[in-house]
Amino acid sequence: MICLMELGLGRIIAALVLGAVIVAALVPTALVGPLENIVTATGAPMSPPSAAHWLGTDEVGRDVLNLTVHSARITMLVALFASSLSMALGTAFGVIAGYARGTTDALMMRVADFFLVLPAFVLALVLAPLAIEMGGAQGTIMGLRPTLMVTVIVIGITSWAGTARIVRSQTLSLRSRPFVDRARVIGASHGRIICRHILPNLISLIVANTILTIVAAIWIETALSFVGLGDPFQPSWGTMLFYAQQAGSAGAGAWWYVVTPGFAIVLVVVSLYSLSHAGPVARRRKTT
Amino acid sequence: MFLLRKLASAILTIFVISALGFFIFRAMPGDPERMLIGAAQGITPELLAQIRARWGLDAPLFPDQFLSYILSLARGDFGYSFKFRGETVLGVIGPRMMPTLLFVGTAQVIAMVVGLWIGSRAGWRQGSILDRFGSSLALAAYGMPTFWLGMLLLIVFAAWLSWFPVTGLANIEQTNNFQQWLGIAWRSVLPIATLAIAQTGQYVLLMRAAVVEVSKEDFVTTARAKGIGSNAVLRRHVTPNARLPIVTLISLNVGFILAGAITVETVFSWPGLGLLTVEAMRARDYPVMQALFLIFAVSIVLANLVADLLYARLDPRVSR
Amino acid sequence: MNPHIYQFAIAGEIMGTFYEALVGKDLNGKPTNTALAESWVASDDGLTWTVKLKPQLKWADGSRLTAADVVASWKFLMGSKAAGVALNSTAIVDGVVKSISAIDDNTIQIATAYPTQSILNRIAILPQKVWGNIGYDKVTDFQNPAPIVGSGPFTLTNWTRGQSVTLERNPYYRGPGPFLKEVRLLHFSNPDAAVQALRSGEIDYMTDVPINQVKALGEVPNIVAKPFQSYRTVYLGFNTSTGKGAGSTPALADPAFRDALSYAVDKQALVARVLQGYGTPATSMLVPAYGALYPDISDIVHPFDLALAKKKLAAAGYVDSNGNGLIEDKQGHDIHLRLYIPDVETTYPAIAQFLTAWFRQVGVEITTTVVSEASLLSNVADPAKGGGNYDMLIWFWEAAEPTFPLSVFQTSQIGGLNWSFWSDPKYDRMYEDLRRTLSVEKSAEIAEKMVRKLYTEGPYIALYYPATLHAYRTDRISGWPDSPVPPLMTGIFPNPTVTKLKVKQ
Repeated sequence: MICLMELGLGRIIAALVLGAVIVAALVPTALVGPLENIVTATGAPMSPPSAAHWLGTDEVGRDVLNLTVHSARITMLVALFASSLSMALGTAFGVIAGYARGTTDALMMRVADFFLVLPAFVLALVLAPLAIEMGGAQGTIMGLRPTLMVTVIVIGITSWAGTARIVRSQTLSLRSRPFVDRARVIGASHGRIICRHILPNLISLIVANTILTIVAAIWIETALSFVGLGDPFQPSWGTMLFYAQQAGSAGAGAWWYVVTPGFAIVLVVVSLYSLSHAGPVARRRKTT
Repeated sequence: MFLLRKLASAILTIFVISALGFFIFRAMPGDPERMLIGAAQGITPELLAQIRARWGLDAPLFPDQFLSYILSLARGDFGYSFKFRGETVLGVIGPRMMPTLLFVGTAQVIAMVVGLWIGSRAGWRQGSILDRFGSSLALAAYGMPTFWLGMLLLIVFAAWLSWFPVTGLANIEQTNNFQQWLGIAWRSVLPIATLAIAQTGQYVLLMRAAVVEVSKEDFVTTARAKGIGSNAVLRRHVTPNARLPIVTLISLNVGFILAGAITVETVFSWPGLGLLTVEAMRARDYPVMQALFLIFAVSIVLANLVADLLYARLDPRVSR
Repeated sequence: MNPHIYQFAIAGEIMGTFYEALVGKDLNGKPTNTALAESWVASDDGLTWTVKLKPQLKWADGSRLTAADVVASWKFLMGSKAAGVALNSTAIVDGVVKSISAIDDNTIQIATAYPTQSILNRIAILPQKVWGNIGYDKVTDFQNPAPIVGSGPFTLTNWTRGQSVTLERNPYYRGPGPFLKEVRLLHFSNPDAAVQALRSGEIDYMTDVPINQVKALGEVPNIVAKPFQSYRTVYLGFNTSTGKGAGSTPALADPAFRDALSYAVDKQALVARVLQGYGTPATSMLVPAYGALYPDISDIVHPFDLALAKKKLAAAGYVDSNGNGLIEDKQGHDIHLRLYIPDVETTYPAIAQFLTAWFRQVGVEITTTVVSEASLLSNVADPAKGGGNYDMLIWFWEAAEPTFPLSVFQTSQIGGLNWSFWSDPKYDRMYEDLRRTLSVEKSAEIAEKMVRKLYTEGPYIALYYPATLHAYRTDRISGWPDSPVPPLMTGIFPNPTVTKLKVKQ
């Protein structure tokens, strides 16, 4: 009982945290004013938390709270887009492979295995600088600068394989269920069977998996930004940490600048985990 | 048969990765030959052309450059670094190997021993104080970006307490006296602790879940019913069976370890492969990046191969 | 450690402690006899130099350094172009030095195509025992392993790529000094770590202190942390190409347009905010550290005045006639400039944000893209061969040699280092004159003319000269210089400081 209550409390807290982050991501300007840059910076460089700047300032005098709230938007947008892309790719790939079976399935799964073996971060680290330079387009796409859109795509195409595996095995088992046979007997097309009978039964699996994909996307985005592949004009939490590192704030003891964005990441990740009530999910491989 | 098939598939994967590496890096925009010269005075178009020819950059991409690339790889020749003119890629990468192996290896051993122990205890006595504290801390450690943990440790133990130096190995000469080894060890504490803590979190969570699952099985209940001591049941019946999923997960985990190592080396300026990766990426040193990419990818493939073989050994059902 | 192919300034600086040129240079850019030559005399027509070496010069292994070493070192460079290799100093001698010969063991005669002095202090004299066996085919691959024997105050005894260099006192150095028995240079990829090491006394000196740590570091007892002059100019460059590879608007090629925009740049504010005061507003590519060759053009320096900038733009024909807030070029298109900045420089986004704000107020929109250096280098390549396709960039030039930043704007450097594709025959002629000048005074005069031309018609706006921030400990080492030039990374050879430092008893 106690355990359950605690779990309940944990989930409530998690939901509250995520709610707050979503609000921050949706209306950052209403909360802390427009994103500060060096021109509009309001404080002295690297000053510790004070009444005027609750979480201190960065190396050019920007308010860390202002940056953190605005970065929530970028971090969450990138994670959301990237995980949507990854889920869409993974689901499509998994459903087709599982539904087609046979040689197609075997071939497709070899491709998925290839991506599963190559870790998303290493691949993304290699692809991102390349793609950033190719996507030299100007302006913004869906509110993100081209650099970040590239990050979205890179994360998307490097992290779908796990989803494809899971969806495929579920599709395989669904396909052998009686209702699929019945649908086929009455002459339903493949497309119809997939849309009407298979996909609806995959939804809960997909939703559960999406949360984990979002977490993975946040991690990869953070790590990529931290090694300098973020966009300085649309900072994410990882970009903030990159600049904190560049400005030497860890050695200088400027804890407010380091702690704040990192703590935001931990809060979001742990909350997402609590909601999916899972730790790192054991994606067991079939040893066929 | 099983072994052969696994081996063949690993070799195929490595070949595909090599090919992928070639095309990815050739597609990079920017002129490598201009990076070769840097901003040396008096570049003329003729000189640029000479450099292109010298570095084989004017041959057709496919098949000429590709074939010579595959042949060179087979000979273990990764070409020359762009950033460090005249130095072979192996010459650049070689000295960075040991620090990373030392760093990642030590952290892994610590994390595995500590993590698996805590995890099995926590899973065996669900809801105990150890479980609650252990699992929450583990989740937090797992949830935070590894490099951020490193920055926090730096602030506390280097900036505030001044117990440890900020840097990694960079300023230690290779000498054999004890004092210097001690110096190296002292410098390694923070970086290794960072990676170890982050990894411990993951092992705790994985082991806990595995133990919880196994302890629901009938034979465990039977063993307990027979009156065998709780610790003995854990040791003799539960842990061996929980090992199986853990092996697989550890192998899948190599990528995560690598990502952690790359970013943590950046934080501590630890002169290993991870820092080199970031430096090469920033300088767009394609040959070095390409070699690192291959090294990482191959080590992951090998780790998976080892895991498969281990799995087969531990679970005879697999090798049909 | 190969002087023919190194690219990083630090490598040149390290090599300067063991390889020397004939003639030295002082803080004002004047030639000195602190290097190998005792004296150097020009013939009446200025075309022949007779150089006398100091008596009894020795390499660090005790063997004699003779005129033969000098002649061979020079001849190797003179033949490099014909042999088809591009070495760092190839362009310095190419077309300038006609012949060189040893008159006796201590005397050398050099014939040049036109009167010039700037060659004597720029060519390292290498021991032929080592370098005599390295042909043109091998020279760019030669790693020059330790121990490296030279003639300077130190020898290099150990070297780990990208990590550390150990220098030991050269027992045969002619003196005075050096007093330090061993100097170890360490590379910290994380400046934080270096600051900590300096605080704890692990190291005695560091270069490149992070801007926001200088003040705190200077307050530590026994540590001096302060700004020194550097050779760097950070600038805003324009793509002035009109043909292939031209920018998004022909206005970029109009000197009046660029001139008007320069009134919209508050260099003082950039120094104060981006550099936190550690720098100086710039007027040209020539930096104050050049001494006599730093021209004073304060009489024509533009004030920061947005209203004036707008007026100048209007006078040049750029006004907002459709009322959308952006001025139009002469073809009637809104002026919307693409600014490219290299990703390795983390202060440039801040500059870009200031420029965006100021230019917006005079009706010019800026979109900034952060790209890698490699990618930026392909933008500045020959526009006839796919270069161009950018409007503005922020980058820097840094060279210890004052003629270098001026050489960049020659027409012949388009496709090379003339990244703005700017061309002016008058300017090209002035540069040729500069190359053929013997006296520092005359050089300064020509350089000033060139700078004035660049300031009013040139393809760039020089933004600032960043200071270089160094820190050292005074409790263990004495002899630190009291000059605007830092102890290391001076660009002055031989380095005036390394031979003076002493360990305190």
